[in-house]
Amino acid sequence: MRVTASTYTNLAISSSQSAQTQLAQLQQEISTGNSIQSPSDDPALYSQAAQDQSTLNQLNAYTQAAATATTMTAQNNTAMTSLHQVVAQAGEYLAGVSTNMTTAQLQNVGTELQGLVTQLTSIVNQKSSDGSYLFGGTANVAPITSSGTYNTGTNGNTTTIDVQSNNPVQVTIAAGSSGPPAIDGFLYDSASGTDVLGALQQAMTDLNSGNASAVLSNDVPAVNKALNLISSYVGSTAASMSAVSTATTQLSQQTTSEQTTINGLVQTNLPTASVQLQQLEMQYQASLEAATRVMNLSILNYMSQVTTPA
Amino acid sequence: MLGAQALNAQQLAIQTIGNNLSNVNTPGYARQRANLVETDTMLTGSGEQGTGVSVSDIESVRSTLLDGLVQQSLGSQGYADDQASLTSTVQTALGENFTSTSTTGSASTTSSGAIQTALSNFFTSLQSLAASPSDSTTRQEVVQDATSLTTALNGAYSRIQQTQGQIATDASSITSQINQLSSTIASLNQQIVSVQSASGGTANDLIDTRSQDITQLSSLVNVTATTQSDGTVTVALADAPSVVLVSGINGGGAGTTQSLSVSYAPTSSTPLTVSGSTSGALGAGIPSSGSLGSHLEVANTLIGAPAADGGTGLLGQLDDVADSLKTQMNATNEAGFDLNGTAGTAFFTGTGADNIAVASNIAANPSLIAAASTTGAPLDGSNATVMANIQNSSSVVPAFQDIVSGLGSTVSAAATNQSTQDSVTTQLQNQQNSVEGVSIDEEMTNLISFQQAYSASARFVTTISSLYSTLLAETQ
Repeated sequence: MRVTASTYTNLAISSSQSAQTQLAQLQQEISTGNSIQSPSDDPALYSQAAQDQSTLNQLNAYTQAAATATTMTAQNNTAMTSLHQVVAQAGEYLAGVSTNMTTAQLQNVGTELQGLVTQLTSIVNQKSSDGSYLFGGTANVAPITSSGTYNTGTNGNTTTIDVQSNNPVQVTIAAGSSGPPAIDGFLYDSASGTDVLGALQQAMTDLNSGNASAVLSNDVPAVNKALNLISSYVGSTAASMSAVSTATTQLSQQTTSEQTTINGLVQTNLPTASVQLQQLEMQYQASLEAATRVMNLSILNYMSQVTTPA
Repeated sequence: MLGAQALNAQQLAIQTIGNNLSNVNTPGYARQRANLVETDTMLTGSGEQGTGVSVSDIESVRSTLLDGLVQQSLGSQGYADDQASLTSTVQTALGENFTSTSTTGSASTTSSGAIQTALSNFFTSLQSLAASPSDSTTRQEVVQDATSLTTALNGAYSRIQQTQGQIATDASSITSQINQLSSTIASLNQQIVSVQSASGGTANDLIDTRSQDITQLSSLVNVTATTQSDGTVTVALADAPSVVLVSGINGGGAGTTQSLSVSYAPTSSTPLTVSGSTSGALGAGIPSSGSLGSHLEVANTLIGAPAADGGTGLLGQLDDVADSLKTQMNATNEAGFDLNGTAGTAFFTGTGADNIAVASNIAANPSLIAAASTTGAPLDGSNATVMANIQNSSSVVPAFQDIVSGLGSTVSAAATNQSTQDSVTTQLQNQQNSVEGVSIDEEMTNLISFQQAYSASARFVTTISSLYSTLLAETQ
């Protein structure tokens, strides 16, 4: 092939541009820490990384939801544990009642029981940090009215939060109401005929009227049933806490794994990039040197050497 | 006479070398060669006797085959160069790039672009709303994230539309260049015919200039150039041979038979079209190569028209994603109940990605987000969960990721095609240059040769002169 003056020039420019493009790409990879910047850098890799990024975002959202669920289920469990203590205490008071007790003594027990009912009301009517009632169902009303009766405005609807894909966790519990309409919850259960508030209030009535036999024959069994109902809720809220805790642990592991995957996909492998940079530098230098040497070669050099002495 | 003729011939050859050396870096220049031939012999008593040397012609060393191949390749090169550049510009306009990885301790975060991030934030805040439906701060966050999402969609759409408009402006500039070159080629046709008919030779330099202009034209639009018997060339669009840009020396002006122009109608199903001044509107996708072809391809196919105008390109796809998001969110919000127990209303307004927005009543009052599935249940967030799950709909997040990945593939393929085409063009140009280019060493060697021949001829003239002087001196 016949070689002309522009052959060397074109080759030098072409190889220089090629090397500079690769150097710029490597410089960007090393300086940003990302092996891909734009989707076009590696469409398949970008697609995979974008999908993983979506998964990671979703995991982060689930982690946030799990944190909320942890708080809410812990609130529920604390409330049920406190409620259990209150009802257990009431049971102990009633267990101490005997037919030998005077009316005044029975009324004293009734006063103690009134204090416990006040505590129960306080626990059941507590609000969350945003001011909404925790146990009024989704209606956002106090489950127990100021007159100490069930609020018929409540409902038994509970809230679930997805803490993982297809893993809803119940994060609210409803107090319930004897009605009408009757609503099942931790204070009332239609299936077993348990009415926590009603049992305590009936016991107070019987105590205040000095009817010890009614307390022993009716109220003690009713409060025991109430205690059983609350116990079941202590157990179920603890189970919800445990489920959220398990989900949180899994989410943490999945998040770490997903982040590692994304980093592996998009982060620059610095040792490899550094070696490539070194190789490119050498290649570029060699290319420049070759171009400089070859382009300087010309018959003109020899002609000047011959003609100069003359 | 013989000596003077030889001196003239060597001098012309040296001048040709000088011209070659002068044009060693001139684009499109083909090296010239002074073809030396023996002059007619003279019959003497001793037989035929040579009468010296003369220059038969000054030949421009050209390869018609390589010239044609280079022109074709430059058409494809112009297309590939602009395709790579324009698609990359569109990708930048979409703005979905991986941002820098920031590392805090052992944890690092990545972000995959404004819209994808906004989509993710929006659905995350809806998930938070499901857990805290009565929380005003969470509701405000949903509105803010929804506004960020619509702003990101509006912005990307607007940037892509602006890019399409700039491509149309650029295409108009390209047609101006095409018309200018067509006019120049027609003018050169006239000059070449004029010079050749006057001198009887070949107008090498004018042909070089015309060839260079045709090469330049080929990179703008794919054309076929046919040389006619009178030395003129006819230039027509390769995709539409009936669309003749230059025909001999005839036609309007300096010989341009028709000019090209572009028209841009953003809401047309084919936003960018090319018309000939006499042929009228050219078919869709014509021209298909050269810079102009690339501009048409990117404006009409890659970007396309809005979905409402039947577009299936980038704008249409963005419209589809926005419409799907709007439709699903509105249906879900309308099926639920707000914080006051009232049935929900449309969440988003707008007709596409260009104008999708959060409904003004919801933007002004986030309590109107219908997070509950039942009325009178302000703590019910189940409808918000349904909204959050819209992210799993194949027509929203995955559809948008497909748009980004598809565009990335297009840009990547364009870059690969550019690289391949660049390699092909370079090889063809090297081959063309191998035949037509000037070699300084070759010219200098020839220069020495002709210089020596000139010296020898001069010595011959001196010797003859000396002989005549001696003869005259003896006869006096």
